Amino acid sequence: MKTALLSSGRRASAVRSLILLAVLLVFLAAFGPAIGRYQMSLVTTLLAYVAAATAWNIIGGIGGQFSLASSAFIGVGSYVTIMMLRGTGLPLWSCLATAAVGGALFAALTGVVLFRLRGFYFTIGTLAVALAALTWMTTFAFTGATTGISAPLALIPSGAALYQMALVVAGVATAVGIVVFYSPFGLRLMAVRDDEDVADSLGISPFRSKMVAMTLSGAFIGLAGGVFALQKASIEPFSAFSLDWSITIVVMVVVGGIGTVWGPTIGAIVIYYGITVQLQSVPAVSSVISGILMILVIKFLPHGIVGGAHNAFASLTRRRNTPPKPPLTPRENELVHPQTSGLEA
Amino acid sequence: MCLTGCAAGGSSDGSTSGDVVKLGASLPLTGSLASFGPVFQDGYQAAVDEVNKAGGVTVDGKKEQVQLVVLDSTSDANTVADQTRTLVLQDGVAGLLGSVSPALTIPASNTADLEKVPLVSTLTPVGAWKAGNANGWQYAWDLFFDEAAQIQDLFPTADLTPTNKKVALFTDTEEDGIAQGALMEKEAPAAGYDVVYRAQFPVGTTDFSEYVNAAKAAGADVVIAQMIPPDSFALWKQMKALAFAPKVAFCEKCASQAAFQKQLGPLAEGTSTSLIASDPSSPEQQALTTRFSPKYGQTTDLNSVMAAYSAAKILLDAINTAGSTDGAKINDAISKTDSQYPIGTVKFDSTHAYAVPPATFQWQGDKQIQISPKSPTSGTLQAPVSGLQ
Repeated sequence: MKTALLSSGRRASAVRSLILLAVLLVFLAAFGPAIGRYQMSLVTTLLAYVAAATAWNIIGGIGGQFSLASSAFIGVGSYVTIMMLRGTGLPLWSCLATAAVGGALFAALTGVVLFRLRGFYFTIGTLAVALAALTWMTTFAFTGATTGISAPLALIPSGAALYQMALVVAGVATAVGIVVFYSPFGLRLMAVRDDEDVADSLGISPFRSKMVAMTLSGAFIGLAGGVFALQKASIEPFSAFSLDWSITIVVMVVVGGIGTVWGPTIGAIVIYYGITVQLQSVPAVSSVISGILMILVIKFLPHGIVGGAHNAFASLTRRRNTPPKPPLTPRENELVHPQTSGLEA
Repeated sequence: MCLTGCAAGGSSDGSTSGDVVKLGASLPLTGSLASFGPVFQDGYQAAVDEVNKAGGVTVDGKKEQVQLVVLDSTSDANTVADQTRTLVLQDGVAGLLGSVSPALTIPASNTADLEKVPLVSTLTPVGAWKAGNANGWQYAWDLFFDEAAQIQDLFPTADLTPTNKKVALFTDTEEDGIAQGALMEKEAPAAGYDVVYRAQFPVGTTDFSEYVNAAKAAGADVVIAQMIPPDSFALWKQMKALAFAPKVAFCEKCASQAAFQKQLGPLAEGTSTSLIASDPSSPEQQALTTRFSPKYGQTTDLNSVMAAYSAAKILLDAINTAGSTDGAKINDAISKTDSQYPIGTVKFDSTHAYAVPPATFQWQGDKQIQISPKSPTSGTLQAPVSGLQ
């Protein structure tokens, strides 16, 4: 009975989140064309970040596996998209779908190898994968080595078309994030995050859960990489596989609220739109402020902006719903404040 | 969410008056290529100042002042792509000015082609820049030397002193490091040289001792390095520490800035590098030398200022010729450029490039002396590399 109630509560929360997502998407789709080309370009980048951060949150936040391999998935998605566009002439959506497949396959491969490790060892392993992928790409002649590759500019979509694509990518990634968070699979993933051995003893396969999460995460981060690549038109290993991607995505999720549904979205808005764009003329300062913000959030809002807001709201609600205490009787007052009572006496 | 007018734009002079024509540049003012950014900014600003002093550019029949908007790319290619988009879409620049090296200039060139806003760049080797767009650039233009011409200038310079013709290459894994390293390996035998060792390392390498010892063991008399300035400082110090004293040493991209000598002091003595020759007879060159000599001394930073000035002047002249800020009209005017600038008599070829002849310079004291080609102001090659002895 208790389980059924819990499921129904989670289902209601999931539905509420999905409705909110739908409203946001409709709003952005309706007002996107009216905001001008520059703002549209910024929101396109922001939406790609939302997709990547939400996808990382599946493995890093809900699954508790602190991966730094995101830069490799972004890079794979970027290269697959541009190479498909150059080599096959397939429609853009097919190229992006292939980027998702590429990201998922690379993530699955990474998971198979690295899920033998736990904790910091896993994180260091993913960092090694990211660096190895970057180094490999600088020498891989098929993808242009350090020179990189460019998409035929005639095939690059217009700003408005790219905006719509980014909207769909961010929408689907967030919807999947919501479904995972509230689903039984999400609960299993959280159980693995909280105590892998206990989860294992309860019949949950930690390896299988983490593999599914990693693959999903890789698919959407790869998809986001495809959008980034289409925006830039040409890519080379140092920018497509830059570790900055991994760091930025982690900072966004931590600031917004790691392991929460809307944290990655809030974090992407704060870090990209609130800091990176506003301080575009002084990017070095932007990096410093992002770092300081992350330290402050970890110190004072360990569950990020969303977690902090949730706690504040819960605290307010509790205070409002708690009836006022009746005045103490003289005997109670004496027990609570013995010295004061004695003096008064 | 703030959706309008939120982004910040940096202006070099803070001018925001009504009728101004804006030019934009995303430059490496910080990061690994920070020694180039301020030099470029000086060259671009000098051209803008000169045009403004003469009344500005003519747009739709009336004179308008020009404003240079510069953003710091932190030497990052992703940031260049984002910032050039900002410059076009938010600041509404009429033209873009390029950054240094293919890694930073290609993303800006892409924005130029996608947004149909002309870009003129320099100090970006034309071969690697052309390779950035297999279909050919439409709105981007580059004026610098070709990598093959640069290499053809290196070996004759090494020939100026007797060596055992054994070469050690130190090339990083950036696109120009790999490309030019491969080209040097290919061209060396034809010039009578033997590449006996090649070290390849990622950007940011700080320990070169293994590579230096290997080059020393291979008995190389000639060192050719292609790397970013900060890494070269470590390599040169370690060559000295490990008593590897080649007779000739080239540091491409790394020794072409005054920062090389400032950082290494006496260790820089005798190191050579390629850049573009200046034309001392050009009145504009003389004016630039007078203006910037106190700041840069007799170094190739002056040549870089001159190159940047030329790029900006070509763009400004094209705006004047077009009489409009329309990208297509300015682009058409650039294609018809056939005038003398401090960098030379510029006439772009069908690939949008103007190949400048390379020149070799050597650090002698706190000056960079032109070694080749011979000119009234050139000097003689000092060998062996005394800073490393």
